[in-house]
Amino acid sequence: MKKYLFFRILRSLLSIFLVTTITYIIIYSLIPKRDVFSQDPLIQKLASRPDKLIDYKNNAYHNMNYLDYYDTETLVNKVQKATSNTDVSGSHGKKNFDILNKWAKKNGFKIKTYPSSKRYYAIRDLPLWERLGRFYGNLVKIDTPWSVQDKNNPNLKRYLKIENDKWVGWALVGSGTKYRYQIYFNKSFPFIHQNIIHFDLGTSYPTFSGTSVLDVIAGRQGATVSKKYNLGHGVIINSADNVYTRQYQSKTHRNAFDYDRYKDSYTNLDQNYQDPSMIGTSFRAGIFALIISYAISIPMAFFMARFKGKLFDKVGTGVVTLLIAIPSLAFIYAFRYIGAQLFGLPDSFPTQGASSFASWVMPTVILGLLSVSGLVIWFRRYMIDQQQSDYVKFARSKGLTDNEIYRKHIFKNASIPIVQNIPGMIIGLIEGATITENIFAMPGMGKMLPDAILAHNNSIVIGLVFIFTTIGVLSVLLGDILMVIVDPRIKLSTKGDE
Amino acid sequence: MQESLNQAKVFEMGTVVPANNITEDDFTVVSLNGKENEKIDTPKYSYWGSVAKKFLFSKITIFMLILMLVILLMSFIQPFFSGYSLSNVGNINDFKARYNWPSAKYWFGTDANGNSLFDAIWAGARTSISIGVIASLITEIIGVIIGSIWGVSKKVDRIMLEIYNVISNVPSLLIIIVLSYSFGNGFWNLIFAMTCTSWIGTAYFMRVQVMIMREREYNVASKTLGTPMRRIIIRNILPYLTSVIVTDISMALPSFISYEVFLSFLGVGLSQNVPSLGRLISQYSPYMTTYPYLFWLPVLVLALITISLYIIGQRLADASDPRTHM
Repeated sequence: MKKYLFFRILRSLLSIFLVTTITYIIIYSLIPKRDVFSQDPLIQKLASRPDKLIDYKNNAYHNMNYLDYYDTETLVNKVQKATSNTDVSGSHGKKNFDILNKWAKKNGFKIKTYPSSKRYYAIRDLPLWERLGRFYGNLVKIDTPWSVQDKNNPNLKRYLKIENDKWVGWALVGSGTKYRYQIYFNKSFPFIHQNIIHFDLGTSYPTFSGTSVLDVIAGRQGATVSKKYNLGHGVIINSADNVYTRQYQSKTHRNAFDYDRYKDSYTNLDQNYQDPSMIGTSFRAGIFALIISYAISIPMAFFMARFKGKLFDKVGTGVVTLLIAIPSLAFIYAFRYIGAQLFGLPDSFPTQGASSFASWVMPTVILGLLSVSGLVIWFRRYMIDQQQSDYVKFARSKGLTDNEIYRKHIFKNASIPIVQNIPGMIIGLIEGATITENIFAMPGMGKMLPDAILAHNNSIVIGLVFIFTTIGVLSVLLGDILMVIVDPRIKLSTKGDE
Repeated sequence: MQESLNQAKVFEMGTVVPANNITEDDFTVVSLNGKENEKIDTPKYSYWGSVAKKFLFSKITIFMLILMLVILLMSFIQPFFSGYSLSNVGNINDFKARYNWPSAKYWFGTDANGNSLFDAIWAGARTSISIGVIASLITEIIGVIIGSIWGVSKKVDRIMLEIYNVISNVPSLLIIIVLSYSFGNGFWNLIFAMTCTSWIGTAYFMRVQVMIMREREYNVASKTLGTPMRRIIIRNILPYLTSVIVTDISMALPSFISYEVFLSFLGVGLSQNVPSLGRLISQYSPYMTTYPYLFWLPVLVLALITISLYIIGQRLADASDPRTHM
């Protein structure tokens, strides 16, 4: 079993890697590069200034990992450093060109001139494998006391200590690390948090420009909220700063106010926001939708199988058929209409926002209802298959009542495949929320995926696919393990070939 | 003949018949009929005949069949007469023609451009039905062929399982949108984008079904007798799986139509001049309260199409299952 699990996890990791790589290749090779600007209004504005336009376009490509781009100033700096030749400049001329071109050839760059000023700039197309290498090379970042190397701050202390910090209480505090608080505790799930290992999925562009992909997907959203920090000695500070995210900031960037407040170099911090993150939004809706759909479909399928061929079964089959056949879009619109007209629920998520319970009701209930039909069909089938088995006949001949047989025997045996399916259902509900989240304008991952693809936000798309695949592959694994726990007769590892 | 039979019966039943009552004249000489001897006298059985009988037995099926035929005829013939085109904006300046509620002249009312919604719906239905039918046929054909090879060969199984793990995890929405970016929007491009990964789901489903049937006694016997694997798949296994395949088709059809609706809702897939039900529904969803007929009539037609196709498919699957032909 242990050996099986080891190889299974290894294979899962391989699958995640392959899916992400294939997505990466699909996105970077199939979508034409120039499509990025198809909806960009700035392109029209810059049309009269060709130098600016080229600079803007190349910067965008650079941000999206298509190429390396050095404008004149950076290029000259680079060349001066590499050749220790200080009399080179970016202006047009044969001497400058020769020096720049020599450097460019050595490093695989191409020297080009801006159309109007005739100054030089350099670009280098990144081959696909190099982009992939950068992506995976930067994927996992581990924080150590030697992470920060700042020339302006040579006396930075380097340590890891467990201490009672006045801002966050007991925590593993680091200096010289990128994050101040390496391990800390608070009241929000999962109570113990860490800042040691971070995933870097790239930088978002052109939507959410400049923010890291993980912050966009997993960072909280909405308006900032301030929180009271009690520092002892009667000092209470009211601030929207999220002190858990304190990061190192060099002297040149920090502002005096923050330095005065925190008394050290860790002054770069995020704010506290009121609404859950995209992952959080999708997850909440997904979990509750799961509970709703099981709460409806398990009893329904149970009684349909129990009274097979009777009125309840016939009506139930009719309802399920309708649910399957009606396109989900039509179904969602119909229910949204009913909910808004009869119960006065908001027909769009942002109307009342994430803080209001009412705005969660309809997207969640509808999401749950969408998966009822599939569950009912399968659970009813499993139960009916069990009805013919020998142990049921035996139980009946022993004189057990039908109620007992159904509750204690058939139900338990029929629920094994259902249990295996639960983790898969969770991921299905999160991914399947694309339609509901779009219709209700709910700020979750399901809405983000088509939005990001349509906006050509390559790094977000890859980040989302990476997250979806990881959750998906792991949930299949979790489902198998759960099945073994529920039914010890099942063995995952088989000897030989069946 | 009848008489002799009667006599034989009488004889059989043990009534005492005086021997002198039977003369030579009572007998006729019958020549031996070789053909008659060989004939096995069971009622004639034709598989498809029996399917048809079973299928047409139910009144609901016949009703749905008529409904589907009406919808099909309307959506494939009506557009030729109406000449509906999305680019026709002849009535756009005629304020009287806009937003007319359903009446005797305009059965389903008129839209923002003053065009008849009745024409728009049938032109759209034609596209949606075509997409559903073509996409599910392609998916099923590729899926069944690859799935049956996958199910019997262990070498193929090992490779295909890994491919399946990868492809089934790439979001299909991503593939469709990316392909429509690189090849452009259009009817055939959309069908290609929809089917280029969907077949693997069907193939995986077929693999499991074939694997279950593969080890049944009759196939083991057939294999022992030296039947080649290809013949076992085509003659032994696939006929047994007809009902399963038909069920799968009947579920694929509505899901493809529904998916096209969703893509049109996102604004991806079909090019601007192709009418489709999805486009109508997404275009008119803001009018749900002001001009509800604009939104609900396309939804109603769409629901009728998918429901009738699904129920007919299910009934056909039930009827084509040989185990029910008792």
